[in-house]
Parts: sequence; structure tokens; C-alpha cells
Amino acid sequence: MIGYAIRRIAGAVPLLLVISFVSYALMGLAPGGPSAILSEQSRALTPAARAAFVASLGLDKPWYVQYFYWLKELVFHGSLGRSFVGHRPVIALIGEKMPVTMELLGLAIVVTVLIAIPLGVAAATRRNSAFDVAATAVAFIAYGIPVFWLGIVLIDVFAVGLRWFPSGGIASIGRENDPLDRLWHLVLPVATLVVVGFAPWMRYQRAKMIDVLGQPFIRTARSKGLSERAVIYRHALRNALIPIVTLLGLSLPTLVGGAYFIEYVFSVPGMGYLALNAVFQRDYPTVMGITIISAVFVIAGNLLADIGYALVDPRVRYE
Amino acid sequence: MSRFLARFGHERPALGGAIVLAIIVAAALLGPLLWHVSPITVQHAVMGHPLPPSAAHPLGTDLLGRDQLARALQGARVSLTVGVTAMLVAIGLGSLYGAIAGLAGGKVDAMMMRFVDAMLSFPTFFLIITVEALTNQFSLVVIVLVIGLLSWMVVARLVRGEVLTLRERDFVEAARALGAGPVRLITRHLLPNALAPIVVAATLAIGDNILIEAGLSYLGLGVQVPTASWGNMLQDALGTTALVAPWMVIVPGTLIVVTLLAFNLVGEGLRVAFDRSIDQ
Amino acid sequence: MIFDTLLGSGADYKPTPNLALSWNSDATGKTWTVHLRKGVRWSDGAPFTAADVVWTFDALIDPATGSPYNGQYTFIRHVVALDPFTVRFQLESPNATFVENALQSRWIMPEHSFRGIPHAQIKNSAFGEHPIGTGAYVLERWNHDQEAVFGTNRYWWGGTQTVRTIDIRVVLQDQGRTDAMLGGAADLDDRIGADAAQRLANVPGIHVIDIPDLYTRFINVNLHTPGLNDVVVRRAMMYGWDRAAVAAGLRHSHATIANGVEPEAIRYWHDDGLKPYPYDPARANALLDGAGWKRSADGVRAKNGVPLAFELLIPNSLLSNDIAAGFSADMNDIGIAISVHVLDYATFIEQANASKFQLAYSGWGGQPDPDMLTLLDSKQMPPVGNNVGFYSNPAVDRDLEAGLVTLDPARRKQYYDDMQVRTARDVPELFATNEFALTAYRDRVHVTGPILPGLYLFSNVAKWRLDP
Repeated sequence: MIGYAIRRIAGAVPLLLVISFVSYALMGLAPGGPSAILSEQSRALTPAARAAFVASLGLDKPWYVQYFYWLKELVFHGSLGRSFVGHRPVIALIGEKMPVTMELLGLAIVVTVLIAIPLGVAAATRRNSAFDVAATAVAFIAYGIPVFWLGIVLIDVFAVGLRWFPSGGIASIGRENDPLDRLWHLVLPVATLVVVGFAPWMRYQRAKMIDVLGQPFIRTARSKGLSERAVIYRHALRNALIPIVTLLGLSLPTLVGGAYFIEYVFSVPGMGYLALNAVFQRDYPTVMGITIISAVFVIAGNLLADIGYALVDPRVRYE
Repeated sequence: MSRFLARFGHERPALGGAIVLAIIVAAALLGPLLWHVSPITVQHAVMGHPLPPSAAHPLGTDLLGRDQLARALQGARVSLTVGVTAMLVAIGLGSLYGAIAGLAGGKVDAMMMRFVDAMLSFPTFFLIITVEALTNQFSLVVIVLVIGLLSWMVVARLVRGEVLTLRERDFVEAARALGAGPVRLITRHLLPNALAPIVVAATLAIGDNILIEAGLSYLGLGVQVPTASWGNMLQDALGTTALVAPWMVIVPGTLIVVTLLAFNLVGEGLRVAFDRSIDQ
Repeated sequence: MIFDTLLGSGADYKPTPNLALSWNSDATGKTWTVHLRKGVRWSDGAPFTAADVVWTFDALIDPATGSPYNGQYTFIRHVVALDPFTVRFQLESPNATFVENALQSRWIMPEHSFRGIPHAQIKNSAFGEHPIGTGAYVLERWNHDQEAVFGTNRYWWGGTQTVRTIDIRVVLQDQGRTDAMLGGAADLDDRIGADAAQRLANVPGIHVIDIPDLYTRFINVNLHTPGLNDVVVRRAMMYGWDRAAVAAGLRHSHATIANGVEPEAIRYWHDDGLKPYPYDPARANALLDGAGWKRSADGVRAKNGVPLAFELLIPNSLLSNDIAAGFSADMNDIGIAISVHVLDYATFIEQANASKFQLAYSGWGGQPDPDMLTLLDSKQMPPVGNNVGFYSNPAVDRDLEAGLVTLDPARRKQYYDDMQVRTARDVPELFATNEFALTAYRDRVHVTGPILPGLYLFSNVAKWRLDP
């Protein structure tokens, strides 16, 4: 098991190299350059001044040379470079935004799981009942809602209209360290994420539960005279949790990559916001930093999902 | 096949979804014949002041006084085109890739699947945004290719899995014994028998693609003005005008939700029908 | 707020004493002497002297610094301190923009904070995170992309700050800003959109003011484009474009119709006598018919095989999308086909700067000075300057070049008036609108000082009054 994990991690290094190379190539070959971060209006921005600015960022060299410098910095100094915008270290930018995104999405995932699993179990045990049909219908409708649309509608109704919640941001003025205030700001974005996100979790949970309930060992358990409650929670649920473990592992990257729309709509200064801005401004070092860190988390997420499998299901073994 | 259709017919929600889809497709195709208002004609007199629904504009107008019904119909064509063609790209590429990997097996399979892992390790949506922003071609073709080329990996995995089980089956062995080459094996024997999961994945993918296009349009990376798509209609609506002109938010939003619901119901119905017709 | 410029800007952007008390030039206009205020301290207590001014401008004019403003000051040969409170600027050539461009615009930095730091390393130094200035406020707390909190600078030379704390919030979406105003979380929202202004205007307790902005919007024309190189076509496009629909409609009257190249907000220099092109599609059609641009079967005009069909590049934004949609519909009415091509901002700028366009959505402004040499002079075509549309008119060249070296305002104005009349006739760009900067504030805020757009508005914030 440990050997397997080590081999997987070692295998990730060339993968990351390929990913970083391809990403840099994409940016290098694409039209549009970082000089866009300079205002278009200034009379000073003569072509010469623009060229000098581009050269001061090292962008006068071909992209593969830039990539080589970038890689050298990363390998020998462990540095992701400095952002073109504001010249702060990329790692500091990511370190600043990541906790915000993790807080938002972590909370959203926890709430989603807490709602989706009981719903899925309940739907499975009352298969084809009115409750099952209703839950399924809601899940299907919710799954098709564009996240930004729901976000805006919720803002209009609950923030602008009813004034129950703030319309965006993560803290009130002067109450930055008040956890209750933060929570209050997170209600609408988390609600949006839960509504559009709970459907697959619930559907997986329901399907798996139905599958497990039909298996021989459940019949055996029932025939031993165990209560229905005990059968469902002690025997069936444990086995039916596997897809949830996988989903949790696979949703790890979204924790890092950020939820672009939700952060955009709710003015949350997290990774998604950073990523979008970096792309629009052609802030190459920041784009690269986010890509690499996200890729690391995708790979780690896959690995954790596989290991989680093995822990939950003793039949799964890795050599 | 008839048994399958009968099963599908029993899935009432799926049938409902199919009917809704038929209506939307018919509206997209026939709309311009029935509703003669141009989706791009601007009304100077009311610029900046969207008109509420009325007899002349059953779904109201947008900020430029353009008719929302006409735009919704045009948007239906655009959104469905993006959804379906991007799906075809992804399914075509994914099926072929998965089938080749599954059939080849061994080292080749392992290598090919490593590549899929690599592709999946890219932060996908970020990549879509990046490629869209960087290529700067907000044409339908590019949007379709970008979505398609970045979403085939899941299909590839799915098909490979199917092929791995199928290739040990008797009929494949028989075909191989009769001298069928790999191309014939894939196109005539393996893919047709793996069709069920592919069709389900395809149906669901159309909906997902429509959602991705809407998202790209919302960020300003989607279909270009003045052509309407449901996504850029939403983008137009989601300023501070949302409260002043709620119809601008409701019309495209509802269309997206209903269409996605229909596709997902049909996809789910297909899945159930396939499963059951195999069981029997 | 943290930093000061040598000179302030009063009503009509007139220079006022600030860190400098007086300034004058010799007869050649090439040597300027600036006398500094005494007794000014940096927010760490260190005294402000001529060394700070010299260091600031040395860094600006050194290309190694990599300042994007560098190109603006190539006309400064060197800066020396005559004594601790007198600075002499030696210019390469007389320059009428010097006072506005250098003295009124550039923040002075503390030399002692940068000792031992090479110019090339300035942008990577920690100073940006912990700035030290001579202004009324110091940065107390800064959560990047969230908020910046400013407290009072106890060493400030200007007396007592009536506004004690300023909390600037970053709200990523317009909607959120409007909500913050409506909900009472914010006291002031600068540069709001026209839609937001509409929503806030009738709310009790909230004022929305229209401040004429130093900004004109236009559609740039690449004069190397067949069809667009015909001045009749360009004039017809001006007559055929319903700009009132933009100014009164899309911008909800927070914009006026532009009469030419200079923004209306620079009151002294703007030629008010110049009449804007009226919306007159019949006249546009007549002009085009008269010049031999005949409508073909598809409704698009053409002459000698050259169709009037052009591509308009726009950066992606709601407003530019809407303006472009209206423009192309109007042009369609007079037989000119416009295809709109949306680009993301970074690519748009790159293509526009490289003259890779036929028509490009554009804007100009930010300075209260009429100089437009790098945009319109025929010697300023790329790669020298920003005349990306390849406009060339010797009389305009003469006006722009003479205007730049003429220090006497009355004589200088004649050149720019002439330039405005000639460019209005030539239509090197399709003039659109003069913009207003919209600012909303709660009635507990009492704004004093000159009502000017953007940062100018806040130059006097320390003396505003706030009701509890």
C-alpha cells in the first residue's frame, strides 16, 4: 500500500512537468500579452515604453526560454516567481486566496454531504414512494441550474430585496475576525453551491444504497432478525458510502481550483477570482502557479480516493 | 431494440423530457418561420429601458430594445448546436481512444490511460477559460472544439472499461478468429456493443455543454454579439438591471434549466431502459 | 491619500501649492525651479527634502526602473537639488505639459526608504506593502483584494484631518457595490455605472453626482482601410450614428455627445463652439450617394469593387457590446455593414496597439491637458508613437507640435482650437461621447474642495466633513 502510494507520487513528477510545459506553451503561443495590464489611455505608453516594460518582465525572450527560467526558479529556489500585477510573490497570493476558497467550498461540501446522504438513503429505502419521486425531481431540476444564475437570483431576493444576507464579500466592515459575521456572509454562496451540487451526491448515494440493499448479506442480516434500522445503518450504509469517498477525493481539486462563478458572483476573493483575473491580465506567473498547485491537488485527490477505497472496502488491494 | 423502446416508453419522466426536447428543437428550427421579428434589430427610442412582456414582445425586450422571444429562439439554435456538436466531438474522440486502448491492452493501454490521467489533471474549467481567452476566437467552431477537446477523457475511460470486458466475450473472439482486423473489430463489434453507455453519456454531455457555454458567455468568453445564446442573454441580464427587468433574467434562465432537465431525464431514462432490456 | 504630488489641482485642474509652494521657468522654458514647503515630515518622522524629489524623478526617468510611466518623462534631462528646499528641472526642450504632467501628477517617494536599493529592484521591494508618505493618511491595514484601512498621519503638514479613518473595500461586482450603498454599509461609491446610478438616484439619503470626466469615448479608424480612407464615408458614418441613443439611452444621460477629439471636461481647452455632428441618416445617405457609393443587391454600398463592410473590434464588456450593437444597426441603415468582433481585453489592446483593426472601440483621457501629439501627429505612427490609425494632416501636426512648446496659455489655446476644428472635419476617429464620472455618497458625507473626477476628488478628503 505504502509502496503503491510512493510509486504513484513518483509517477506524478513527469506528469507535472508535462502539464507545466503544455500550460506555458499555451500561454506563450496565444495572442494578447501582459502589456494589457498597462492602461490603454496613457499618452506615455509609446511602443518603445511598452517594449521596455515587457522586457523588464523578461517577456522579450521566446516562451520556451521563459519556461526554462520559470522551471529553474521552481526547481532550484522553490519559487513560483512574482506576479506581473503588483509584483508580489505568487506563493503569497495563493497562500492568501486558498484559505478563503477552502473555507467556502469546504463548508459547501460538508453541508452538501450532510443533506445529500440522508436524502439518498431515505429515497433508497422508500423506493418509488412519493418522497423518492419528489426528491429525485428536485435533484434533477437543481442539477440544471446555472450556478451564476442562481447566485444572482438569490442575491436579488435575499440580499437586495429582503436584506437578510449580504450581497457579497466575506466580512463586514470592522468585523473581519468575527466568525459569526463570516458565516453570515457565507450563507448565500454556500446555499447556491449546495442547491446546484447536491444532486449527483444524492443520486449516487441512492443508487448505491439500492444496490447494496439487494445484496445477499443484507438478506442474511434481515433473516437474522436484525431491526430494519440496524440493517440499514450498520450494514448497508457502510458499504454504500464508497461512492461518497470517491466523490470526496475527486472534489478536492475544486477546493483548490476555486469555484470561479461563485467567487465572481459573490465577490469572494479566493482562488477562482485570482485565477480568472490572472488569465484575463495574462499574469503568466500566477496562471502557472495556480495550474501547478491545482494539478498537484488533482493528483493527490485521485490518490486519496483510491486509498480511501481500500480503507472502506477490504476487497480492494493495491500492490 | 423494440424491447428497449418499450422500456423507455415506460419511463414516464424520460418520455416527458423527450417531448420537451422535441418542442425545444422544433422551436429552434421552425421559430424564425413562425416569429418574424429579427433578434438583432435595435430600437433606438427605448435604448437603456427594457420593455416588459407585451403583445408585440411576448417575452419583453432587452437593454437595446431587441425582442427577447426572437433572441430566445436564436439562442436555442446556438445553445443546442454547441451542446450537440461539442458532444459529438467529445464522444467521437473519447470512444475511439477508449476502444483503441481497451483493444490494444497491455503497455499501450497503460500509456494511453496515463495520458488520460494527465489530461484529467489539468484544472479543466480553468483550462477551458484559458484556452477561450487565449485563442480569442469566440466563434461557434472554436467554442465547440474547446469544450469537446477538453471533455472526451471521461468517455474514453468509460468506453475502455466496456471494451475490456467485451473483448473477452465469445462474439469478439469469433470475429477475431474469422480474421477481423482492429478497425473492423472496433467499428463493427466493439463500439456497437458498448453503445448503451455511450448514448447515455452523450445525452448527459449535451446538457453539460449547454451549461458550460452559458458559463463562458457569462464571463464574456462565449458566443459573440449580436448573435444570441442563452448564455449571453443571461450575461446581458445580470447587471444591476436584474431588478428593473426581471424578465431578462427569467427567460434565459428558465430555458436553460428546462432544457437541462429534459436532457437529464432522457439520459436517465435511456440508462434505465438499457439496463432493464439487458436484464431481461 | 498616502502620498502627495508637488502641486495640487484646484478648480478646472489649475495647479495649486502642495508639497511645492512656488514654481517658475526661465525664458527658454527649459529650466524650471520649484521651491518646496518647509517643515514637512514623512509618516515615519523623517524630514522631507529636495533629495526626495530628486530621487523620485531620477527613478522615473531611469529605464531600469521599468516604470510604465517612463516614456512620459523622456523630455526631462536631469533633476538637481539646489538646496534642501529648491529643486531644478532641466528639460531637453520646452514642454507645456510639464507642470500638469510632472508636478501635478507624480507622487513623491521617500528617498530614505530606498537607500541601497537599485532602481531595477524597486518594484520588488517591500515598500509597496508598508508605504511611507507625506499625505494625510497612513496605511493601517491592507488585506489584498479585500480592503485597505487608512488612519491619520500624525506628522501631516496640513493640520487636523476631519475624516479620521478611511476604509476602502474591494467589491468585485457592480451589483455588490450598489447593494453596499443601499444597505448602508458604504458611505461612498466612486465611478458607478449608469444602471447603478439609476437605482441609487431616488433613494433617500443618497446623492448621485455627475462629474465631467477627463474621458472621451470613440471608435478608432484605421485610415489604411479601403473605404474608410474616404473622408466622405467617415463623415457619413458620423451623421448616420445615433449617438443620442448611447448618451441618453445606454448611459442614461450620464454622457454627452462629443464634438471632437478633446474631452469636454478640460473646460479651458475644449472648443465649445464646435458643433457636434447631428444624427441625420438622410444626409448620410445623400453624402454616400453623391460620392458614388452605391447600394448593391444585399444593401451594402460599394464603389469600384470596394464594399463598405468593416470589422469593429471591441473589448468584452456589457457597455461596449451594447454600443457596438447599436452602432452596427445604425450603419446597416445607411448601407454600411459592420461585423462586430469581441476580444478579451488583453488581446484587444495588443491588436489595437499594433494597428490590426479596421474599426476599434476606444477611449482617451485621464489628463487635464490638451496635448494629443502621440495620438494624432503623423510622425507618431507606430512604432514611434500611438497614432495607430495612421492619421496625417500637416496643419494638425503643426498645431500639435507648436502647442507642446508654447507656454503662454492664450497663445497655446489657439493651436488646440485649430486642431479641434480640423480633426472634426477630417474625422480621424468616430467621436462618440464625453463621459461623466458618477459618484454616489450618503448624505452624512459633506464633500468639500473641487469636484473633479477620480483621484482628484479625494485629494481634499482629509477636510471633508462627516456627520456621525
